[in-house]
Amino acid sequence: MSERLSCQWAGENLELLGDRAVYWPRKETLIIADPHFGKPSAYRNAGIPVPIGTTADDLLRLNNILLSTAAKRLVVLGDFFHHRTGQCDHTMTALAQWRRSSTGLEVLIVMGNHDRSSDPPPLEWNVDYQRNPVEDGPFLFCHEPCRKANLFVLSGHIHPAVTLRDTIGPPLRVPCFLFSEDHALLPAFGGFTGTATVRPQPGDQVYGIANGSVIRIPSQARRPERTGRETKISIKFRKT
Amino acid sequence: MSSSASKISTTSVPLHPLLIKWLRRKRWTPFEFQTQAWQAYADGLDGLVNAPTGMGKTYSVWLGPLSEWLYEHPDTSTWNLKEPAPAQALWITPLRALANDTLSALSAPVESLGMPWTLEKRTGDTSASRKARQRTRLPSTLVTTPESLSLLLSYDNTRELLGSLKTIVVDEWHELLGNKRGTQTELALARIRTWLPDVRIWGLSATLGNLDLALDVLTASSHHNKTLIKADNNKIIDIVTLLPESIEKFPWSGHIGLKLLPQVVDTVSAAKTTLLFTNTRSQAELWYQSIKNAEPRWAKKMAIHHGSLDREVRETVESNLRSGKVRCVVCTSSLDLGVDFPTVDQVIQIGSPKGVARLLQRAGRSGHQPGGISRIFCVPTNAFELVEYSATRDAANAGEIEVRVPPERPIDVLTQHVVTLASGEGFDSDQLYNEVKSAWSYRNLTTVEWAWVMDFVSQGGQALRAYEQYKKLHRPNDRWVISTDRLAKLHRLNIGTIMSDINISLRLQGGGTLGSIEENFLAKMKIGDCFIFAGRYLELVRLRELTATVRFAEKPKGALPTWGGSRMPITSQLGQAVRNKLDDARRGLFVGPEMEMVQPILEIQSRWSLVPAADELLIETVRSREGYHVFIFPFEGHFVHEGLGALIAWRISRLQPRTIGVTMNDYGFELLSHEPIDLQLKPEAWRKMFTSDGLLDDLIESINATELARRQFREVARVAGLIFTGYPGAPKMARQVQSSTGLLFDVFNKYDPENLLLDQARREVIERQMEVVRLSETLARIKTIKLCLTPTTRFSPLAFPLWASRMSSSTAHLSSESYGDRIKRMVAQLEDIAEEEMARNE
Repeated sequence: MSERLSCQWAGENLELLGDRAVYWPRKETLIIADPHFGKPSAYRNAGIPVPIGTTADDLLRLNNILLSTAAKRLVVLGDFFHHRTGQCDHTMTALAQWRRSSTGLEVLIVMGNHDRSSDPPPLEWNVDYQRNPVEDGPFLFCHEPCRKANLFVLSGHIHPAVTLRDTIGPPLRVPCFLFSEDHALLPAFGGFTGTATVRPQPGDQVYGIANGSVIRIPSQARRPERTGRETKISIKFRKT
Repeated sequence: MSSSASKISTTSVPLHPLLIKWLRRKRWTPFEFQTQAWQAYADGLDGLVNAPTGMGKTYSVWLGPLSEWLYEHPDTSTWNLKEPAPAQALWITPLRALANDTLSALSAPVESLGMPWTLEKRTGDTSASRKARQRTRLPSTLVTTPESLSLLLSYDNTRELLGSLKTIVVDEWHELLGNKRGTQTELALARIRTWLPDVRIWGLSATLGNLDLALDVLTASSHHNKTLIKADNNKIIDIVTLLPESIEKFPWSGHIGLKLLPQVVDTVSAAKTTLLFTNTRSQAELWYQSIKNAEPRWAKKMAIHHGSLDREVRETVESNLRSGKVRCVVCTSSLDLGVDFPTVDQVIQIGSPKGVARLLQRAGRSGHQPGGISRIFCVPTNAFELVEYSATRDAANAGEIEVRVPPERPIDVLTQHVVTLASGEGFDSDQLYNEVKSAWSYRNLTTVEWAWVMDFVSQGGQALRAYEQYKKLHRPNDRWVISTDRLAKLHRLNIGTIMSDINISLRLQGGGTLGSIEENFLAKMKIGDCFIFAGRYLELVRLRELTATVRFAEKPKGALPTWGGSRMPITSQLGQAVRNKLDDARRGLFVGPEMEMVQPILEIQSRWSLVPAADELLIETVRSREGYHVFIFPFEGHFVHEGLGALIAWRISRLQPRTIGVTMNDYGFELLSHEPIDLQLKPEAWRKMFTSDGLLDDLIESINATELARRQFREVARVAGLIFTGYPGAPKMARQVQSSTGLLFDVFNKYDPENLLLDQARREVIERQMEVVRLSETLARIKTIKLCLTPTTRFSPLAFPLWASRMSSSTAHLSSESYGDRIKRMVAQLEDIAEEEMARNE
């Protein structure tokens, strides 16, 4: 059990972090997906009193892993913002402050579906805000899962989780990284985001996150369910 | 009302002469309870009428208000149908499916006398244009549901609209009393009583074990005197069980139950009209299909009726039933309530009756001719249900009827209600506190709790104190009102979701809706899966937001998935009666056809283990490949067993740290561990596990471990308006704020742990889900009886169903470990497996 787990994909060394992020040492790049900043504010805007604290915690977590990895670049695989109604002063001030404190850091955001119903980040944040997937080395950074010849796709959007079971108790769901031959799904970074249980295919490698640690889940432990209970989703790939 | 030609003496019937004439024309002689109710109404009392369906209880409360109006408006020449009387009566009904029948029953005397009264309904099914019209002027009588009434309170002119109201009637009050919809009704009544202190409140109820309380709750804040009026009910109820040829054909568990199809078909063919009740909708679909296949010539004379079907379909079925056009209607509790179908000759019950009152009420749906016998045929779906039928008959004969207890000051319902009122004319906080306290369920509401609710709904509570943007309610002119129209609109979307699951509308590819279906049922399916709905095979084509598109499946395939509504436990009355039956069996007494039939199985139970006497608690221990099992049989219903199982598992794991899985059913629970449970054969050690000392603390601890509160929060959050469940056609504005309640639970738990809604979720698990009162009574009972520790070599007939249900379901069980501990243990296991894998690969 470790807070970091090293693995090799597409000929590159990657470190999977228990804080729901991937570090790519060769490019000194930290990769996260689906932070959904402002989601609690969008809720409050609709009259649902979600307590204060998740945004601050997310930013704290982000700073900690940026520090511990000494990353020079941050890549966000979409859904940086949750919705326009959540981009209130509270959220934007907190994010602006974070951005000011991380000036040396290069930031690339690949837009996700939620970003499309949000305003772009202010210019002074100095963020590379890309509408389309971005290629880098063997990888393609994008939001929704897709396939692209000769590239290994890193994506978000799904908020994957996996169900663990044993004979005694009820099944347990934990967020996960899901790697296959030519693509990987990252867990959602945001603390106030849900998950969707995915159905790993034969040959997929699943890394679960439990109590902040990353653990490789052997296929034996993901026995098929007898009576499916949760929403299981099959991942759809977009043609590019 | 019985119809006979005898003359009614005008002096003895306390009604206006025109109504007496109307009764005479109908050749109805009033029952005594009706006369009593009319007199009580004329005397200005509030009251509750207890009468079985089919005896005219509707008119017992309806003619009083009509009579009064007739006395007040004696000059018929002033009656003008173009200027109908303003709002006179509200008629609250628990099921919107009942609104139509109620409406036509209420209209009969009004139309016959030509009274200038309009009668309309207002339910979730009412069109938007009519609802809008009702918001400017209410009909003389409005038939509505608790949710629609609550919704009405969210408009600012409702006080004015109701200004002339004289009477509120709550129909089928027994159905609301024990749940949060009843609480919602209490709050609405309290509000209307504040506006109109003289309004008279009447209720109608089927038989309950606690009718006096039912009356008190209904009329809690009224200044009127009140009365409980009971009909003399000497109708004979005959409980008959359809028996299989031999008991060997019977499964020990499960609900396969079609083995008796031939007998059921014979029974149906012997009468003109049959109501066939099942406990779940999937069972209803299954039986409907099977009877149709067995008797294809009935295809056009068979119908299915359950809560998920489209309103029009249900209404057609009901009217065909009334006119005697159908031979057999397969239904669920959707036809438990409501006005009578005089054409029904007999009733069939499939599976466990679950409770005495329930079976009696279902039986009462037949045999309405005077002196008629109500007959119910019971169809066991497993061997032990034979015992239940026999036990139910005994309990019914002894008059052991269940009680219903209202929820104790649910904070979620109050939260919703406060925002509802703020969306309407607004309120003064102190006045509203007193008004809320006048509702029975909130009589113990403290000022601290009230202050918390006000703080939470207005500013988001403690956790949002520093966050100034959040202001849901504000107080511009000394009255609390909702801060924006948009929030009021969002709130209205959410009223009326009490108790109901998220519903997905079923749409046929190419057009047409079929009905709606619970989200958690569809969630189990993937595109292309087939299921049966309304007797037709459907294939899921697409699921988008709150609409599922389906098409007719080409050929029937796939299993019938189970869905919702089977969670009702057997009642303590029935549990007691079952224990008495087993006690008889223990002493070799097998009285009645059911007990004779089940005798061989009880003899196996006795050989392999033992049949517990009434003063014994059976504890079986057995070892299998899966581990060490302990089966314990208190016969108290699965809610109590859930609590007891969690409690005992937690207490054991505190002595001996380990994981214990818990599975429960209506008869008992199973504890399963990979390691031996050392107490296994020591009665004194077990005795300690069942102590009542520290019950609440231990329960709370065990709940935290088992995450039950997290599950219960789903309902609390929905009622309190923390999630938008939406509905088909709901505005898109709610989309970005739809999330799982589990996520909200986690966030509140971490950032606002003092939140009373979390507290309520835990309390509800303890009070309602685990039935803590019943649970502590159970512990008290266990204290006085003998613990029979019985090692067995294989699963006994009583134990087998528990084992089978654990094998077939992923949710019927709990674990004694905390989430964190379990994760740690499972991760450790996973690492072992991973290492083995690596070692193999090298």
